[in-house]
Amino acid sequence: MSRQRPFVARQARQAGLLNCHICGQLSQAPAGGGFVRCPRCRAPLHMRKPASLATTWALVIAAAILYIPANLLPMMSTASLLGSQEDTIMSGVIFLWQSGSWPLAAVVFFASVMVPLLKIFALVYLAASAQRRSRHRLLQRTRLYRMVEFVGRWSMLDIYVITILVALVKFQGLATIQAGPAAVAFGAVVVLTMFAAMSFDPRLIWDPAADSAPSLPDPDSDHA
Amino acid sequence: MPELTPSSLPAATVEKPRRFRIPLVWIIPLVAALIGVFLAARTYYEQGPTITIQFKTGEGLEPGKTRIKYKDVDVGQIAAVALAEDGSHVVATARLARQASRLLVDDTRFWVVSAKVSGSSVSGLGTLLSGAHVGLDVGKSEAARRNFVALDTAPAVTFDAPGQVFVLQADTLGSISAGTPIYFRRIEAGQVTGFRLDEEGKRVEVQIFIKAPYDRFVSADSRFWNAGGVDVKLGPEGVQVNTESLASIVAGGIAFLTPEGASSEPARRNQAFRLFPNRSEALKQPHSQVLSYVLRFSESVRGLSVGAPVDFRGIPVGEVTAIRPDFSVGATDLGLMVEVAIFPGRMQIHPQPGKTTYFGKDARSGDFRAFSDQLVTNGLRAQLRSGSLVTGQIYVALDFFPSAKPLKIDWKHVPPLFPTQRGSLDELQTTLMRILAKLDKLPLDEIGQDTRKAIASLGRTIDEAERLVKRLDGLASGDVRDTLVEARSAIADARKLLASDAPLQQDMRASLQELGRAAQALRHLADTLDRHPEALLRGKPEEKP
Repeated sequence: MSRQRPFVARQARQAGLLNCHICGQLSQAPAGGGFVRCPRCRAPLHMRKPASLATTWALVIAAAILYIPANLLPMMSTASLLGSQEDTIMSGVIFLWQSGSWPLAAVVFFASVMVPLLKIFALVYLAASAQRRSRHRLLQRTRLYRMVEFVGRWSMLDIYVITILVALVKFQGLATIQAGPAAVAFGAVVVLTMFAAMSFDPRLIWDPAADSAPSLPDPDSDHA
Repeated sequence: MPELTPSSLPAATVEKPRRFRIPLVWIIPLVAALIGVFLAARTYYEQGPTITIQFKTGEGLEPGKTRIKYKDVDVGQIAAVALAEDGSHVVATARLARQASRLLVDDTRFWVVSAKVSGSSVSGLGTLLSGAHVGLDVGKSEAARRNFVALDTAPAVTFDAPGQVFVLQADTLGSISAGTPIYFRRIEAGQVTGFRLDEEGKRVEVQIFIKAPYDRFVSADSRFWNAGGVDVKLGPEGVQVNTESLASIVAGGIAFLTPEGASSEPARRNQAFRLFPNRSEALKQPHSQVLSYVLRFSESVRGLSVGAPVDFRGIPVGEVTAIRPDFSVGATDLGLMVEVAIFPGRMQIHPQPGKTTYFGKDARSGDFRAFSDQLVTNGLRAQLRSGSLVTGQIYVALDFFPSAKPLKIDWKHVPPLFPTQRGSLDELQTTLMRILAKLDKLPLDEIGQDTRKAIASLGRTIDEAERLVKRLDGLASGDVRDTLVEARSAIADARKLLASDAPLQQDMRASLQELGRAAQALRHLADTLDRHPEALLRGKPEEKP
């Protein structure tokens, strides 16, 4: 009598349904899989973002690699009458801290050093747990994902500061400021983590839970 | 609302699966990894050696800011500055560029470059704005080194400057310091690079550097002298002032010259030269050969000092080297032995380097002895003479005294004893004494009394003469003078009388004019009476208008 039982599928995927992202048309997934299109608007259809985890991994790894030169190379080179000077992100933070601007130092440190780092760690954690089909802390992980996506653009603070300074301080002979190689690397880190967050499909977090859902009313079959 | 069943939905269109493609997204981490590897490789390649430099103080050293410069090119920077464990100095850790590693050899030198203003130069003004940097001078050694001790001051001469290094030995340092210029014919030809006291503390060794091309003018026989300050000489030509340059007056200086006729063979590196106190001292003929003699004087040698000249009729031929009393037992009086060094080279007619013949004789041979004996037989003697009456300095003079007692050089004595003649000063003193004794014998008292008597009578005579003169004076005055005075006043009166403006003449002229007018009036009367005889009765006729 399972046919009379209420419809237990909790996800479109379980029901074998595809939702068109463009026109919203629901359609039945073919059994063989393959490359499918929307019957109405011909947009490509897929159950989950294709190669979501692989893309996320690739972008996160790239970001992690670039994070190293972003922090070690000079971010900004200042040339003035008093000699030239090259500053990395950390040396700037240390300078701000030593000159007494503790709140500013904290802001720069948090926005430019901690946020990209935490973002990379968060994405690694999300991708790894999704790959392992973990069913732990589903809600927290979703919240973490939302945070990562939200915070993305705010870590461009350093880049904004340098852009303004490079444009403003151009007194030929007296003082010039130039962006260092770390600026490019840092910008790449921020952009890559944003793309990684975008390519990560948060539905993958819930898939393992949904897969075990039909047997939820019957705890015995969960162990079968 | 109809029940929504999956069967009521359209089926998705299935297309042929595309051919398998490499997920392009993996190119991104690949590129990132390549960039990372490239940066790491570049950083590793650019990473030069890390060295430590010891400084006396950390003045001007800022970790992460102070640069190390070679020929004003950035080759590294100070990474950390820390106090040494015992606190006696500062150890700076410096990271250098990769291409600078060959600069780090055993004798490479470091020093702090900051603005410096000294008596003769101003340097490093650029560091006033940019802060001090560390200078580097590459050594010539081949051995690599990583731990260095910095110099206190910038070296005066860098290793790559072409030139030669020599050493001067001086008794005192004088006004010389590192950086003191060295002049060759008043051209600045080098610098003092440093100085140090020798082991016994008796001499000062001054290291100097002579720039190319002047270094080839330093020969083995060159003379160096202290040319600082002003050398004022009072000579027969008047006052002579000698200086090297204005800067050397203030900051001191050293000059050198190779005397005429000396060997022009270039000096070797690090050769030691004596530093003479002045030019004339330095340019004396070389004392390549020294003959020692001893002179015995029985008179006082007060005013004679070691180093006093021995001269022959004005030419200095040697100097006094020692003065000691003569305690020989047989001597009747206590004499004084004066040892002198004679430089026969000074008496050469044509000085020639390397030759040891004088007056055609070898100074060491018996020939020369015979020659000397001949001179002594002819009356050559040593004598003490006063050099200056003001300072009381005396010197030893060699001269011929044909009337002197015949003596010979005592060649057995070591050094040979040369005969002497009592000094001219001494003789003068004896003569004076004799004159004084004679003066003493004179009957001065009687002479004085006689003189006084003579003076008294002379006084009387003068008095009488005075009286006579007065009498004559009285005679001359009286009648004669009165007569003369009156005659003079009479003549004056006469002259007044005869003068054109005298009153007598004036009056006479007035009277004559009056007389003229009276005669005219008389004529008028006669005319009137002639024409109007009635007028005599009726008076003058009235005029008709």
